[in-house]
Amino acid sequence: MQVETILDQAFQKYRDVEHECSQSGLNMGVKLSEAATRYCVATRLMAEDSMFATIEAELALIDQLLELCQSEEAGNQVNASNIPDCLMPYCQSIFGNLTPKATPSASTTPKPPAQLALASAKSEPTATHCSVPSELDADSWQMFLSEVTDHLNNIEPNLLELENNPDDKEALNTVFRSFHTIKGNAGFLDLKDIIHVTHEAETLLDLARDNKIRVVSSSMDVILRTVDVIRDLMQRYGTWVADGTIPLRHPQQDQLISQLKRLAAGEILGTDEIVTKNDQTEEEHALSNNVETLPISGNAPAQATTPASANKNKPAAAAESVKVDKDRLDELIDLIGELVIAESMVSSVVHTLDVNNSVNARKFSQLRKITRELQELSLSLRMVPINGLFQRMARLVRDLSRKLGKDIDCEIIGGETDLDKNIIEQVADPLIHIVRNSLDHGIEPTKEERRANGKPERAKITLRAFYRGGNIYIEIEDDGRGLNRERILQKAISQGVISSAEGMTENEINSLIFAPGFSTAAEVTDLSGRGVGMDVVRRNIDALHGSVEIRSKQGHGTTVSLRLPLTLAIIDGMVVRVNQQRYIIPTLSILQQIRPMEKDLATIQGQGELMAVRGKNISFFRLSELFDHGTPRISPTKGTIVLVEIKDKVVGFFVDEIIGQQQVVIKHLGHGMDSLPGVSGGAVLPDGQVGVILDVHGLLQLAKTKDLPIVAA
Amino acid sequence: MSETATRTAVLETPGGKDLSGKYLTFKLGKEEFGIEILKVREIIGSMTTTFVPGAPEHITGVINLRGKIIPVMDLRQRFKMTPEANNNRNCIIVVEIDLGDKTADMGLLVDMVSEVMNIGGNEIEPAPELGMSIDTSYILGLAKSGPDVKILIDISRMLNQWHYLALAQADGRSAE
Repeated sequence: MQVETILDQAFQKYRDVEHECSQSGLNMGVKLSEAATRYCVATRLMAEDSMFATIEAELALIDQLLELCQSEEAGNQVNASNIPDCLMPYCQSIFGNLTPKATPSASTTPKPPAQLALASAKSEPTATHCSVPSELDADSWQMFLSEVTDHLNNIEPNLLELENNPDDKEALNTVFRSFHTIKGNAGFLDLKDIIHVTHEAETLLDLARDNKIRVVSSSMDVILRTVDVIRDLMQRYGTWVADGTIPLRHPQQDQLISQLKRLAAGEILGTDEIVTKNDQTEEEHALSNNVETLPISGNAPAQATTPASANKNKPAAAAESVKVDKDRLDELIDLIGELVIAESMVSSVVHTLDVNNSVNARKFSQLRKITRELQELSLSLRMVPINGLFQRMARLVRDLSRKLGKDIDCEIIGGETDLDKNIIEQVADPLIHIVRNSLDHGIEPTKEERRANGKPERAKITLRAFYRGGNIYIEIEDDGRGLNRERILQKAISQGVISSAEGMTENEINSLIFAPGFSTAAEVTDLSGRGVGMDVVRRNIDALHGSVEIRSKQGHGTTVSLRLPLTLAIIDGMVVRVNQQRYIIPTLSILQQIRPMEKDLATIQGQGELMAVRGKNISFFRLSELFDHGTPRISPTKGTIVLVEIKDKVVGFFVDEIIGQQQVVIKHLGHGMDSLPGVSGGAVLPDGQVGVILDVHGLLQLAKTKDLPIVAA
Repeated sequence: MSETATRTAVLETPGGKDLSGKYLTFKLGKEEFGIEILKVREIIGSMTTTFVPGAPEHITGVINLRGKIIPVMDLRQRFKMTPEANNNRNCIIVVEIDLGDKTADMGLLVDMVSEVMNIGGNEIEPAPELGMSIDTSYILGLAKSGPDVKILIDISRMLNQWHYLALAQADGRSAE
């Protein structure tokens, strides 16, 4: 036990030394301390039998390091004779060849025998299950998990960067360091399967760092695949930690390791091998929902597109941060929301009591200022840049474009835009659907077609995020063929989505692709054509109180624009009164509010009510009837009609009075109250009473089940 | 502490042989009821509730309990008793109900709260069969301490039943 602690400490120190050396450019120092860390890991894996030798070896290493630092000259070579025997394998694995004048031409380095041999002796090679350590407590696992996840997330964008710019040493080093850290940490937990995989990736990258092999796109595929396999292995180990069942090895683990080895040996892998890899990668990333289709047309007029340059999306400068449990954070934000409401309740009382006391007034304005600041701060706590999500999409574009055999660049604009983490999680699925649609149907299948239409051969897909008017917009733009409206209309009519195309605006036609089951694809492929995807997009975005819009120019491309609120916790609401009850309608859903005039009103069979708005007849429903308030009908001219847009139809809801607009904190209504039609939650109003937040889609459903006629706008 | 633990353990024994412990008793009309004191979070005066459209009939609405929204159930309605005009001793008993993996708070509107009393196991009789029309599955037993009979109810069970009821209703509506 004690030995392990000491080893742990030594490991950490060596890591620090390594870090310092790499900062000051002491390559030899980096390598030496790396050897030492590997040795630490190995010693721990082997248990303490070679303790004495270890200490000697470590001391010798430290001497070497000290010497190195003292001389501090470029081109310092390690004096092999000073390195103790037991460390030799490790040093060799790092230096490749321990001759003072390293042979730079050696493109194939001997395989590092050290750790691999050591580990494989223990668990490999025919095992079908992962090798699991003898003990692992949940806490260490959690720490490991979060660290590895961070590193994996860090590796991916850097790999993509590296692919676009193979000479980017910085990115290469970052990837290498991340793999190295994962391996080191896995070593301490004794997770051998992860060690093996990372080790091979690390070796490959190390060779690339030393310019012994070129980073080519095929090796990128394999390394990205490695990231996936590690993710998968983490999940497998995760289940083991949770319930103790020994996980199965990843089916491609061995294949992957051998590919990494072959790459490290300077081999170039055949394309077929890589393609199958991508299939599998894609499969795993794929959603359970199948993607539907964007209809498209050929014949694109010329369009000048500047060649896409990969956006530099370096991780933001590492600000110091603390990891906090998400539930506690949500609770804090909720509580602050309460504080804001409580504050406004208190001040409204005080103002009526004590109008003239300026001292108190000042104190209260101070209190108000602090609570507002607190609220702003609390809302920003959950905000994270959207870049992480965009990077995932960039990866998807890359994988899919390989699979489809199309050359597609992915450009990211506005990745630093902050968005509520809860929204980011829920917007991921819709984005995947949209991106897949754009790639599969939007972008022309062949370069020839693009060239014939005067477009650059490489297609481009742009992911963009920006703020406008209290909302965030996420746009996915492609320069493909655009929507073919005639084909959409044809399909829509034959599938019975609409009866005729008369009087439909461009926008309304575009929106038809959101209809459930709608697809114009001639055949169902594994990517799309089943008519589910865009429906999913619409539903998810609706659930977030957002909206979707499609802009498309035939031959020039399509832009899908998502409008989302900045946060889920707070919405802008219109407080309305119906009899004695107050309801809150999300402002996002409201188009307009109208006080109707007698001459604009009409009824159908004395029941369905209509109102003429700019020449169009719009049906409206009385909230008091939908909710069975049981009050007699009053003339609509005495109240207000709130117009909302629901699935491209405009309908109205009649209320007695509009009280005002305000921001409210959305809350659950409590046990058993979560599946009520037309109701999405509750909010505490400034007087301390609860207001029910309405959901306009649910209201329309409710209206339909109430047997009231609905007339399309 | 150990007393609490043993009591809970006893309560959970099937058959409900020993239900002795502290109960909060309250009145609905002339009938007296008791609920386990451990389930009671607090007692508040009756306050204006907000009507929630579509909620079951015996839910009078929701209230804001220090920033948390909780539903309030009118126990008279729940037990299909005749509604009574507000007397000024109406109370809301806030109880914590056990939903298996989590707990939830809920208010119970009652006519008046009586007292907290210790009821011994030998004072409790099993719930009688009352025929099909009266559901007794949530009645723990009848306590005869003092002059009156007190009906001891299992609040989690009763509210869970209501929950399923509400869900069924909601499903029925959306299926229409």
